[in-house]
Amino acid sequence: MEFLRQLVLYGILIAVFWGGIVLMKSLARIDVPVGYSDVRDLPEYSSYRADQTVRFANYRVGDGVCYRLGSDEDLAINFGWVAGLPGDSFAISGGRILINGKPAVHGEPVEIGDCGPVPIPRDHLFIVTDQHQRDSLSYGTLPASALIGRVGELP
Amino acid sequence: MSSFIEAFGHRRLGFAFHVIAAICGISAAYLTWTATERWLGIYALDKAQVAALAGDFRAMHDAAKDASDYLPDLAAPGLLAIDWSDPHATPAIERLINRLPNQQRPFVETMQALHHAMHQLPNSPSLSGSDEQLLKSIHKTRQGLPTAPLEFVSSDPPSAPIWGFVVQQQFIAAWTEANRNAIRKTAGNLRLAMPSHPEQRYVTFINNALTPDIKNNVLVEQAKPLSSDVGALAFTRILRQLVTLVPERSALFLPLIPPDIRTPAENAALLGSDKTLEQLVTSALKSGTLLRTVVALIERSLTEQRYDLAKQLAASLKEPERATWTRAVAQAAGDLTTLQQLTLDAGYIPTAYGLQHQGNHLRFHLISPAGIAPSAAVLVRIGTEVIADERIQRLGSLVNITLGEQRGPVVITCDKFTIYSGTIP
Repeated sequence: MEFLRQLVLYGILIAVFWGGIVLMKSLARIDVPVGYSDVRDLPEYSSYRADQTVRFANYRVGDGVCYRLGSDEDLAINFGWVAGLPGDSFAISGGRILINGKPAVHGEPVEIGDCGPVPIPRDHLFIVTDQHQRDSLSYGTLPASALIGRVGELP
Repeated sequence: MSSFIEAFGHRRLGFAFHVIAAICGISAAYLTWTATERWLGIYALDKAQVAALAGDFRAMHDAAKDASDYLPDLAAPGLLAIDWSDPHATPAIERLINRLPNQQRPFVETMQALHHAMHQLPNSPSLSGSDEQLLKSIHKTRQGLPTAPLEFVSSDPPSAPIWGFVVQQQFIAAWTEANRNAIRKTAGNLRLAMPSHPEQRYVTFINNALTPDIKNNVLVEQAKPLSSDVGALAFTRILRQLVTLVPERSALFLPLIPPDIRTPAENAALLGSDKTLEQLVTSALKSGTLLRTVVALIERSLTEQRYDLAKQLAASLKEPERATWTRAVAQAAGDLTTLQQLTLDAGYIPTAYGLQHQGNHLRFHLISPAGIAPSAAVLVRIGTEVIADERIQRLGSLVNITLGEQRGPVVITCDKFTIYSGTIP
């Protein structure tokens, strides 16, 4: 009986430890870099909860996401919205971004000639921002390894 | 516990516990070791992936090699560690495939097929679905055969590396064929697929140049950095092809070709050989033409010694080009007044040197200290009488004045400058 009790105790400890790791990952907050303007009205000095436990297959169109584009300080943290999933097609027509032929919800018009449609490759997402300085129009569709987590509260 | 002691005895039970403790210790040490290795591997893989995103491929390669040593059963570090541009990487790819578990192999096999296609190696592995369609497209483009339009189903998207290679290859084929519609389509695809590629600006320019909706001023803004950076020569080649592909915009592209490497045919086309210089200048002044066109017209006006036209054109420019070209025109025309106004420099004041009075003639060299002979008329006044122009001969900087019968105080001026004041005996 004593042995079982100790076994349960250790089990609970391990579960709490494991739960803590998962919970900490899902509650991690990401600070908005000072001067960041690619998402309009994103306040400086604020931080957002980035759920890093979301699996790649569970990202959906319209999700606010936090992602990285490099190791430099100004590219390490970026915010945007998922506009297209693997297998969707995207194009530019009349300065508007079209996803599967329909205008993307976010992002301002661009001065790019009509092009596409092209497919979003496997394990990649099409991310869009308001100013398009650090989104998929400037850096290409982003691989799963670029994603930091899902942020549901972007303005 | 006491029942255990009764059943097995202290010594045996102690021994058993020692054995269990040893096994637990070894297991813990093993787990710690593998966990540390895994952590180091994940850390190195993360570094490699970030370096790949930033385009730092040397750092990516180094970090991926470390990660691959720590995580030999994962495809990702192995894929990043291999130099896919090396046609002799096949053994390394095969070694990677052999050491991976089955579920990790398809990623590497896809890249192996692309490696074969890129380097045209025999015995290319076969793929399925979208990637197979792309590989067939690569082979057909290589052979110069027409390719069927690529169609993908949303449930089977292509792999990013193969898709990236195909759009590059399709663009190169279309550019080589000089097929306007194909270039526009493939440049657009390339622009969307690889927007962070170092040469993307050229592709965007080509795509925009072939899109009628894009306004000329947008193209001019995009062309500015391209014509001045290290790829200026490549950009000139692009412009030359665009002149033939989009003749309706040739008036926009030709001035962007640097004047020193423009061919005579391009110069003639640029300046409209069927029009007179006056007509071209009038039209340029009316329509607010591009800077480079105005500069080309100034150069042509100077060559034809039409300083009046060159002066008008220079005046139509904005600063700082206006000051530069006004000075250049004034120097070519010998307009010392303008030069002196521009710079307030005594070097531009016309001066008489070596004045000689011999018989009925007064001779001197009229030149500024900066070495420019003024083009303005020389006015000679003796007493109250002004000497007629035909009695003033000029040969370069030499001025020869036939005095005639007049004698008395003489004042010689050139434009607003008095260059001599004295008395002729």
